[in-house]
Amino acid sequence: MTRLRPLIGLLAAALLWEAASRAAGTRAMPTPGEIASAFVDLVLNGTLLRALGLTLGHTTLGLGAAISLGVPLGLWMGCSRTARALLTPTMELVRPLPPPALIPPAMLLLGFGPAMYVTVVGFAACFPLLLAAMDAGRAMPAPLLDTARSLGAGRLRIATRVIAPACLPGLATGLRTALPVALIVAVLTEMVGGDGAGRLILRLQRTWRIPEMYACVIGLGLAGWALAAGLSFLERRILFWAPAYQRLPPQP
Amino acid sequence: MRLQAQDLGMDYRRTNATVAVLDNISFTLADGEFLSLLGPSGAGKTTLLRCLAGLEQPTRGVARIDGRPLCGATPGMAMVFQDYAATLFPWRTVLGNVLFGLECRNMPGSERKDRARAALADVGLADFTAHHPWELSGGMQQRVALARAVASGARLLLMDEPFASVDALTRIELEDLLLRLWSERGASVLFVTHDVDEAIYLSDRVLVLGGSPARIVGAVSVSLARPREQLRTRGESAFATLRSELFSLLNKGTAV
Amino acid sequence: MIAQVGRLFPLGLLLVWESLCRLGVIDARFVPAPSAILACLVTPGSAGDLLDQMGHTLLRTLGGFVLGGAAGLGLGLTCGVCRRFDKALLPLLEILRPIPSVAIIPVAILFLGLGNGMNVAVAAFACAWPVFVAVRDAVRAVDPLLCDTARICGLTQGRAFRLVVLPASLPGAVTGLHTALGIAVAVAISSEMVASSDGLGHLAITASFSHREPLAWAAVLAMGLAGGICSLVFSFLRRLVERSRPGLLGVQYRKGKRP
Repeated sequence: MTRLRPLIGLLAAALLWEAASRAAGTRAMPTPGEIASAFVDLVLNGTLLRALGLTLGHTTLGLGAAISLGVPLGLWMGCSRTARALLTPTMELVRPLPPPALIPPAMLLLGFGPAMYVTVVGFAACFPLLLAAMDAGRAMPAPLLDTARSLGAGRLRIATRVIAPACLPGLATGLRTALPVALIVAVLTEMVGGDGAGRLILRLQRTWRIPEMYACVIGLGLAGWALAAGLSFLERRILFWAPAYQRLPPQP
Repeated sequence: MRLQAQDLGMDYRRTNATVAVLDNISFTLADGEFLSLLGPSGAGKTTLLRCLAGLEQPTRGVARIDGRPLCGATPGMAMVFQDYAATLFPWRTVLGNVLFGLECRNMPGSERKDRARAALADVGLADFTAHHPWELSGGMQQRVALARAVASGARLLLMDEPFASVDALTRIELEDLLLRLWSERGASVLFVTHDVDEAIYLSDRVLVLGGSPARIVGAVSVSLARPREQLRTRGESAFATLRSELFSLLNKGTAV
Repeated sequence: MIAQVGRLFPLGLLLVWESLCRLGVIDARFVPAPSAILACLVTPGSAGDLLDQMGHTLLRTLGGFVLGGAAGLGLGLTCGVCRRFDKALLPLLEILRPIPSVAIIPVAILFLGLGNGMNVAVAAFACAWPVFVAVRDAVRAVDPLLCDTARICGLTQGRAFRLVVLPASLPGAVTGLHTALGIAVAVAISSEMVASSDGLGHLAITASFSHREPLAWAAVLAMGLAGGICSLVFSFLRRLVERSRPGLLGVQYRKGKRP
């Protein structure tokens, strides 16, 4: 009975929705059944999957750009006091800009192709990654570097074999924060003038295909969840050694 | 490996002032000697060690290794720190950690593995090569750090209060392990500690640091018989004499 | 010295941008010169327009923040205190949470039309999550020793909640609220971009489409200003509270000084 308890909340919510939908009688609130069948239809005729694929593609494009720019920059700023002093004022000036801010300027400059998503989504996702990389670089334990240097490791070896792995847990946290931001900005860009799930949802709403619209929204939620779950899975596999995952040491 | 410090001084530049941490440090560590640096916490012992390891440039004076001036990290040295968790790479296994010191050298992979395994067997961790450092207890982790230093073939060991973070019983084991490794390999050891008894038990000679900026307040030769034994050596009357000598030097240092 | 260079760096970048525009290297039709953007900001006509729209945006932000913050607080407190409620609600929340807030915009249009209500509702939806998570975690993280002390002192459940749990979870809640504020600004602007007829988001999009580039970029600048203003006000209020009731919003030790 306890295992079923979580489902009770879901069931209750579904029943409430059903009751409210019948009571309201408006087209704005279709029953869960209608939404479910619309969902199945959209999946079967490929519309939803194609749209979600586009959205996920835009998201990953932007995230890739953000990682390539934000992570090295952040690591450099974290490890080098000079870099920090040089770049922090500029960063603090650009930071208050809300993530969607670049959409209007980039719109006319770049059109709604891949470059647009790289710029806009990349900009939005850049800051969490940069800040996380900076924190990771600053929090590097000095004895780790000292030991490596005293054992004769050169700068390249230290950068790749010591600094990079040591920073990964912090970077993973940054990625976890950057992911939803990237998704949101990607969907927003699509709504303003692109294609993909954002455009689809808006189009369905404007043409009054309401059950399909809800189905799409849920599909987008599922996609977001899948991305986060995928990241978690990768994190657990690759970063098993990070403090959060450590098991207690056995007593000798 | 012979280490020589000549008039070493270290100043740290703060925003408004310059703080002198070390001043006029001169001593020689002979080849194969076990030398302890004794002093209270915050006396600048770690700074001195880092200068001698080539990790920092002293403001004044020069350090020489086998007669040649020190510039940057020199091969043939290894450092062991107090915080073992911060020096062992958690993403590598125990074997991987010991291998790190050897990866920087030119030798075939199988030879590296053999040397690493031999070093781990030497410290008693032959059965734990596939474990990760955080699966081991504090004492075992410090043994991994020792094995890593030993496997790299270091001729000079620089140790910064390595046994200060383990419990007393483990510390006894590690002290004896260190002495055994030292006598087998014949490396020179510079051992920083704030524990008077430990300094006497382990070393051939003890230098006392004190004052601010830190200077060498005195040096004491330890002529107790080797091999040392925990109960016998610590029970000798000479041990007590040395202890009171060192304590008075330490007091002189703090009064300065 | 490096610090001075760092502070002048943005200025330097602006100068480079300006000169590149003047030299014609950058096409001023798409990327206006900083001087043009500045002119837009100070010309009474467009400045007034910008201020108007900023007012709309800020109002919607405030509405969304207050609504979402209250919802997040209430839900977070309930879920933090009552484990059963939390477990029952968990799957529903885990389904709603990953939905990107902008995807809610069409749903909100459906129910609330294209007015302010829509913007506020979407911003509230987005805001509620960080507050909810922060408050729930803060309540759960209240040191059990504090609760034990309360019990030993003979406090009833209600009084213990009001006098112990609530203040102890305040620092975490405030952090969540700070995050939510930034989100409120961003989501309010997003909803304006998609489906409003005023506000900074709408202004930026229409100015861009009608090739009034300086105005579009000026609107973007205004967005940054709006976000900055919100953050400053929040920090100011927080400092006020900290000064009048020290320790209420968490203790921060500074070197050598007492909090």
